Amino acid sequence: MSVIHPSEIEFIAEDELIKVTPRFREQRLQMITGNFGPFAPGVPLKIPIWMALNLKNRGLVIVHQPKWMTEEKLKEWLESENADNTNAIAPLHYHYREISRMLLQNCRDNMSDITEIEQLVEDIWNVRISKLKMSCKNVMKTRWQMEIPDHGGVFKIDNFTQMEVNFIRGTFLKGLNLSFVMSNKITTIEQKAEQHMLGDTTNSSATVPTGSSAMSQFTQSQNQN
Amino acid sequence: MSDLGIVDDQSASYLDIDDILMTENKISCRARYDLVDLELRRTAEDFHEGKKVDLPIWMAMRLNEFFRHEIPKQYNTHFQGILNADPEVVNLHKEGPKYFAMGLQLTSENFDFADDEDIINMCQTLLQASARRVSWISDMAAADHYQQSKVDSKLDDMEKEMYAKAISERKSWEDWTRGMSNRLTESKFIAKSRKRKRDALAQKNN
Repeated sequence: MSVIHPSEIEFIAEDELIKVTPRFREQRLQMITGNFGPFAPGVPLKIPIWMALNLKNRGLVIVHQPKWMTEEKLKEWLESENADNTNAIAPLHYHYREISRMLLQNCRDNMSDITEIEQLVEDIWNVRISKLKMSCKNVMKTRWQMEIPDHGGVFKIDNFTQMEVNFIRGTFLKGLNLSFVMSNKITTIEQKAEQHMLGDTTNSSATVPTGSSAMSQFTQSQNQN
Repeated sequence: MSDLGIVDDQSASYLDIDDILMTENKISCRARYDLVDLELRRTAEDFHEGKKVDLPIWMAMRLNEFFRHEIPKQYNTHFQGILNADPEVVNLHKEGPKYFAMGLQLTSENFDFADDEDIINMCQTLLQASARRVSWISDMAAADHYQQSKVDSKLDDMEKEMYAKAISERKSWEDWTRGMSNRLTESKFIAKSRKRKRDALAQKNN
């Protein structure tokens, strides 16, 4: 079973665009992932996060705080997450966890409310993960309860990000596979047990000819009489 | 042994070390007929009908025609009741370190226990216990203060592997949140060899 490291998902998240203000002048750059426009000092533009972090570390750029990463918006999100007990709310950004970690670690000087944002992102993460774990537990419960649940055993989870799904991937898939192995075993044994019982009825049907021969003898004797 | 399906696969389980260890477990068997001059225990002996003997599973499976098998104590109805009541508390390491694998093995065709119903019930108990314990293990691995040795002593081999994987996943997650994934660290192999070299040099000077 494949194991995906969190840093690999972070790598995928680094392709997201973020608004920066460059401090240098450069022509239009043509890269594999796209073309990034002429850089003029003081003129904001959007570039991928990997490029932004690299330029920031060289002091060539100022990174702006993304629009969704403000204290008010995150607080609102946290409240709506807390309000709904079972389902997750659509996230403000699909890679909120990775982006917040990268920006808060590398680009602290241009951000506001850093500690609050860190705390809020952690809280949001904890709430969503607990919901996800709850639904995993429910799935495992239906595995051993032997009755097919109403929706036929097909589960759907909405609004969870890649990072959260990866968090539970390892143990959940293992447990699920284990339960599949066991229930396959149970069905094969039950089928065999049914065959054994059917085998008994074939044995009893083997006695029927002798019974019918006794009957035929009886009718013959009756006819004789 | 993380993939229990290997128990059924004849060719794959032949060389699997976990399967070999599991089939070494003994089962008490009763002779069906009068068997004369068998060398099951290194000496030729006679088994009169109904004599009890403990055979390892791999042997008992093949001698199915001559021996009647009994379900071992840790899979019988009484123990099933205990497992059904509260599977998280039972110490499965004590009941044979490969509890689930052996349970699956006992359901294979070669065994001829008294009742089909018993086997079905045992399998269902195993399924239920495994599902509940897996949830419990994942909770334990994610708990704030996890103590690996305490929980480990109660898990059987397959669960131990699962638990170790969960712990290592959690550790790599925590490393990532603190931003330490991107650091380059010295490989353990190199560190050990350097330490030994330094010790050897120090000894030579002394």
